[in-house]
Amino acid sequence: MNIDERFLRALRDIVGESGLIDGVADRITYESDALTHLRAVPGVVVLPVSVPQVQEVVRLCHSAGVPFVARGHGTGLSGGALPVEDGVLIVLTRLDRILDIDAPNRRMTVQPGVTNLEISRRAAPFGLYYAPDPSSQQVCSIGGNVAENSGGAHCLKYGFTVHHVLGLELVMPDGALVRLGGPVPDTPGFDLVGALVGSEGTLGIVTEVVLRLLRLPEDVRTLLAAFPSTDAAGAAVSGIIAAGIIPAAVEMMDRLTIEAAEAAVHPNFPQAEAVLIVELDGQRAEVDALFRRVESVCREAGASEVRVAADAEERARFWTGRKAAFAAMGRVSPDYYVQDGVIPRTKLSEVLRRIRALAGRSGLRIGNVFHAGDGNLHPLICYDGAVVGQAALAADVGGEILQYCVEVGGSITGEHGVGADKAAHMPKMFSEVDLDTMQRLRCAFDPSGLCNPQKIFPTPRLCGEVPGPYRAHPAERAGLAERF
Amino acid sequence: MAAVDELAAVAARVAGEDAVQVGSTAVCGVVPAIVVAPESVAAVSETLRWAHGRRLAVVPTGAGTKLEWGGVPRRIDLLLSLGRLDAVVAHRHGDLTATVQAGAPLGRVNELLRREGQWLPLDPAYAARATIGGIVATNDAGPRRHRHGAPRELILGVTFVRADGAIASAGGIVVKNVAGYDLSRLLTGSFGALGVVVQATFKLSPLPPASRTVVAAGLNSGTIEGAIRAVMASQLTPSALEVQGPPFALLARFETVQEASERQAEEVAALWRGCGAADTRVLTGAAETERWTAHHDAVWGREDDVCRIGLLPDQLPGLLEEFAGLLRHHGVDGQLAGRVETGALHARIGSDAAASQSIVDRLRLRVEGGGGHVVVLRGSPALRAKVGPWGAMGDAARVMDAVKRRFDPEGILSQGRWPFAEGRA
Ligand SMILES: Cc1cc2nc3c(=O)[nH]c(=O)nc-3n(C[C@H](O)[C@H](O)[C@H](O)COP(=O)(O)OP(=O)(O)OC[C@H]3O[C@@H](n4cnc5c(N)ncnc54)[C@H](O)[C@@H]3O)c2cc1C
Repeated sequence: MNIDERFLRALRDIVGESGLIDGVADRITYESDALTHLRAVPGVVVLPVSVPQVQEVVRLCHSAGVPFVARGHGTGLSGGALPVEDGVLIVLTRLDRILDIDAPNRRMTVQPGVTNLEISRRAAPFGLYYAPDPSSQQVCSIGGNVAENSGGAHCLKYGFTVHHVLGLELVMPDGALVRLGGPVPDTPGFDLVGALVGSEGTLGIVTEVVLRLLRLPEDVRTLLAAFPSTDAAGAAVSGIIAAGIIPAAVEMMDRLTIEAAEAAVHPNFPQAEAVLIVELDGQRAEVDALFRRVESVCREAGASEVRVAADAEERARFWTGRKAAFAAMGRVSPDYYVQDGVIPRTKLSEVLRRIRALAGRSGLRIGNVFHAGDGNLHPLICYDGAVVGQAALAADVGGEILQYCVEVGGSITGEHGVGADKAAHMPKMFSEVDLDTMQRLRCAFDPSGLCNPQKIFPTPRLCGEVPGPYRAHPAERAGLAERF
Repeated sequence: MAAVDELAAVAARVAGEDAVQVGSTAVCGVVPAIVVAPESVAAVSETLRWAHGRRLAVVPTGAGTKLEWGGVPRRIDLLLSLGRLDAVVAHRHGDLTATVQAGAPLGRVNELLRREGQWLPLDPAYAARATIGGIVATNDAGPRRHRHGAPRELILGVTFVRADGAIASAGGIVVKNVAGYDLSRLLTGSFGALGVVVQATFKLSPLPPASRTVVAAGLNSGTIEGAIRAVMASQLTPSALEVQGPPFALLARFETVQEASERQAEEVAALWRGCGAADTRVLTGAAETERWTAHHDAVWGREDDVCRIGLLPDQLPGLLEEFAGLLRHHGVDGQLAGRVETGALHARIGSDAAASQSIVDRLRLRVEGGGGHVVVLRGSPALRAKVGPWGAMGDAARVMDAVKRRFDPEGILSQGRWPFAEGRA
């Protein structure tokens, strides 16, 4: 169904005048997430302030057959929150309350619009923090993090969003409200929290999140090492892992991204082909012993310089340089496309070599920043949108890099999600049966396919009837034998 | 009997002559008609395709160490053994990952991984014999869960055979990956009700170079609460933090570089002595290993009824007291062991159905209000019929029911394990 006057009136009755945006100029603000080349102006935008409002909006959409898309803070990089033109965009930024801080049990319950950083900020007075730290943490919402299973530099040791979410409240695609998991581990039943995290807003709308907090570590030590090549830096990463050390974070930047970061935020990084930022945290005696080993591994791998952060301020400067890397590309290129692929860490030099060759062949510069410990690459493909054909070329180059990732056993996305951007690449990783099986999960949650449609899957599956209770044939009831 | 023979004959044509066996020990009092142990993933697929067409009730099994857990199977036409699929498919030590077939026993997997100084850091019940498939299906974890998490935290990818025989994969072999739905986690802890896991990939850990365990024994409920608080408020980073009893003891394990392990052990020992735990000792080597074996056996060493308890950590001291009181009241010789900070416990409660029923009811009364639960893993069918193995599941049950129907529309997999999609097949 289309959005008509009656539908709009019903929406307005639910969210009020201040919660509804239907003027075209205002709706355009929401036409994309941070992947700006995919755009669609939503039919109407609502900004509910309560869970019952979310429920009623969804119920209305469900009964009218209108598709709807959840949006957090719109920092997604895969077009996950790309609106549907004839649909409703449900923006969750006004559900932004911290509902409970249970310091003794190290739990926090929050609404989806709370930003990632705010959670750690509010936990800090208790000596606690929330571990997953996407570079966008100041601006992205926890609801978006849950939807994307977001990661961050410190996920090497502490895991991703899925490792820190204990429970969810979900508005199902038919408007029903359910609680999955909870503050206590191992809630009886299937691990629907595990399935929900990373489902990219396609299984319902998260309205509450129960999080696990960690104690702030006693000691944090950070070093910055400069290398004559990305291969040498890669060898250092392998050496650290081979020494049995799992750092809190290992991040790599190559020459182009170092230059860009330097131009943008002046972190005073050394001039080098590659830098590594390695951070260890934990109990002091342990960090002491391991940090010395990390330093010597870096030197053995050929580091021309190893800087140890003297204090929190210097550490913060290292991280500013790293976390600003994406945005900093704007300093060296009119446009850039952030790619997100994963490889087994041991394939790093092989894949980087292929990316370099590709850059040469395509004529586009490609910078590389990665979560090196996890093998999560973020090639930054520079192009000029004003030059006819370059945007398309950049997209092709991105697709080819994903192909390299898959060929060495990796993934087409490590943390940004499939969204609208990579749905077409899914068959690179998964067979038709795999995709059909995943869609069975979707059908269980959203048989009418209205909840964030056209994301993740290259071809949506029609769900058909919900399989009803099976009724035994009378002959069968007679006994075992009849069924063979 | 004729029916069983016919079933066996057809199964032999489908899965291979040597894959079929008639007769097997009962599972929770239910005798499987036949046992089929296919030798390849393709044969598992063929077997399920056939079973699906005939609506045979199938229960997958590995070493059978946890086959009795959960709801009582309503009927078993076919006990599907994964025991012959026991290869370690790949150990990518540079990437700290391994891909393993479902039937491989964890003990053997870890022997292989050890060659490169790594391991799959899981210590579930019956860890040596338990197979990867069974560990994934039950999401069972032991003391090291404190640091490393349960199987759901370590699984990276899965290949499984659907109820209809189709072979599906999700996830992958890299440690970071958000492509597609996370069916690995959906399957983990599903007790064989959504698909038959044939292979899984895990994140590994380096073997710790040194280990120390501190044991504080003979604690009363007052000292135990203080001792738990003290260690949780400290900056110590144990790999396991356990309670066991009654009489209650606390155990903290430090697996890291030698120096840090020694120093932290001394520190926690001093902390605990300061809390009034007079009998506090630091163990290493054989004595340490022995103590952890005793810890495991306290719950799993007898064929008694066993529950899994989940609760908020700050409810633990109260629960310990109540548990000890219940055992005394019923004259039952039980034991509890579990993760202090996670709030995941296992409790052995004897084997007297009436006493067990009363204990489960009382424990549920205590923890359910705070969002906790008590699941009967092992117990007589009578006990499970009385108390229900899973306890309350809330409004999520409706969604789980829908998931079950989509993954297993004919309801052939592990019928009765869960109270979902009942009334079929
Ligand atoms: C500069 C920059 C750096 C970044 N760095 C990182 C990084 O280091 N690591 C990382 O993982 N990501 C990173 N990202 C990507 C992005 O920040 C994350 O994906 C983030 O989780 C998105 O949150 P959001 O609130 O902006 O969600 P949106 O972009 O608004 O939405 C993302 C997805 O979540 C769904 N969604 C949002 N809220 C809900 C809800 N309540 N219920 C259900 N579904 C919902 C949407 O439908 C959509 O599919 C970065 C992005 C930028 C721009």
